[in-house]
Amino acid sequence: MDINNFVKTEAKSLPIFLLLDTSGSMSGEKIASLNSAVLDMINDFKNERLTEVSLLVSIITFGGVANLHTELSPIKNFVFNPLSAGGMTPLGSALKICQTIIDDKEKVSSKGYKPVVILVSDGMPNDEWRTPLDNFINGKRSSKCERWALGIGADADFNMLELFLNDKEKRVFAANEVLEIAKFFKIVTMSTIARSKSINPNVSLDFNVLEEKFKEDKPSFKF
Amino acid sequence: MEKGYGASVSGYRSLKKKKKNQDSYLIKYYRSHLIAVVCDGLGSKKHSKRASKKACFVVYKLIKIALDKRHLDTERLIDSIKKRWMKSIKPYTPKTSDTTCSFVINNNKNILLAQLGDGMIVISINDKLYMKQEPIKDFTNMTQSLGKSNNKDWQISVIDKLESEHFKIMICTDGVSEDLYEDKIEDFVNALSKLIISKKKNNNRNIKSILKEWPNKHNLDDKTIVMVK
Repeated sequence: MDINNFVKTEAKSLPIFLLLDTSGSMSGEKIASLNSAVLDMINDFKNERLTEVSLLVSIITFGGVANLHTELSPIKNFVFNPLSAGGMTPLGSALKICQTIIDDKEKVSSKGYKPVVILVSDGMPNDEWRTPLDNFINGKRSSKCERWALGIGADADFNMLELFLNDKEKRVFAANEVLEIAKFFKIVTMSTIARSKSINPNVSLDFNVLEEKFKEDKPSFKF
Repeated sequence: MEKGYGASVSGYRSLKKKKKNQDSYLIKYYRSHLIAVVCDGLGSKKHSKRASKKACFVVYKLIKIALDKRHLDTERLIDSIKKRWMKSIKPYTPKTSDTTCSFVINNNKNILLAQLGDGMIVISINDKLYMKQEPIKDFTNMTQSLGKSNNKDWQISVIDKLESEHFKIMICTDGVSEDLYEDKIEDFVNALSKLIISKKKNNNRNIKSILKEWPNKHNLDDKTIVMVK
């Protein structure tokens, strides 16, 4: 009996969706910082030796129109094309694109781990976003995703971001300076890698613990 | 009547963490019935080996009682399984000790299949895949378990047997089922069956060697197969 004829040999997938605000207000330093943070995240994922989990990444942008910027692809082949900013903030359409992919079992397998969805925005959405958001947080599969939210600057709609998280134990991360965008992405990266290496990669990790760990991970000079 | 064979091996995760294999299985014969139970202790809980082992014994004991009475009420049986199992895992509780549970009762007339949580039960008739029972779920490792379950979470079915038909039953944990190609399950059951040659003592060892040679090195789960043929 040649067991190889019957058994798959690939690792289970862990999909990561980045829902990124690329509206006009993100132009300049913010979009540059976001591009750099996403690129760092991708590189960190590529550099990790994960045995049990195969990371997949997709980027959906909402600036002017909602757009599937990068299809859900394995991290090892992932090529990041930098984002540019412009237009309004059609969050509702972006959520619909994301939910359609998550609901498609051909793309997001039920034999893979629950996905991570990261929402980043610096302003108020201005399409019909309430119903798509409600559908997303209550959807059969999308409700089970691990969700993260980052509000950039004082004009971000923190109420909407809290609705997106829909979890009293979680909090929206606020980036008052562009440098904090990188910090947020670093924490999400650490969380995802820690999940991937844990006994049960479906269990999310405590945000405060991660933040403390992030501080410890900073290089320190010893005298 | 058919006979049961089985094996279970630790996955790389258990070996790495120096933990016991969290899966348990049991095959027994009683009053012309074959009873096979497969339980997958939840790896994220510390005392799940106890959970899976106790579940196997509880299921067997309760089925024996039903067979003695010649009366099997499945609703009452699964209700009693949970209650008795909760007592049996003491001093632990399902917070630290939990498991999935699948079992089969087989005699010359019919087969009863019961499943709670991850894993798979396959029935093959005359070498053709007749039925595959596995949970419908959104993502992996989000399983139902005895500690969290209600009676409605169980999938239960009964299949009548004809004398002229050759039955094979495979019960396995998700460490096995989640790696099998959908369209190769029938071939896998047939190939596995060929390794089991009646009256030879090494049948269980043959199943074990398949599990030990498991080619997906990314799969860290414990693995168990019970084959009835």
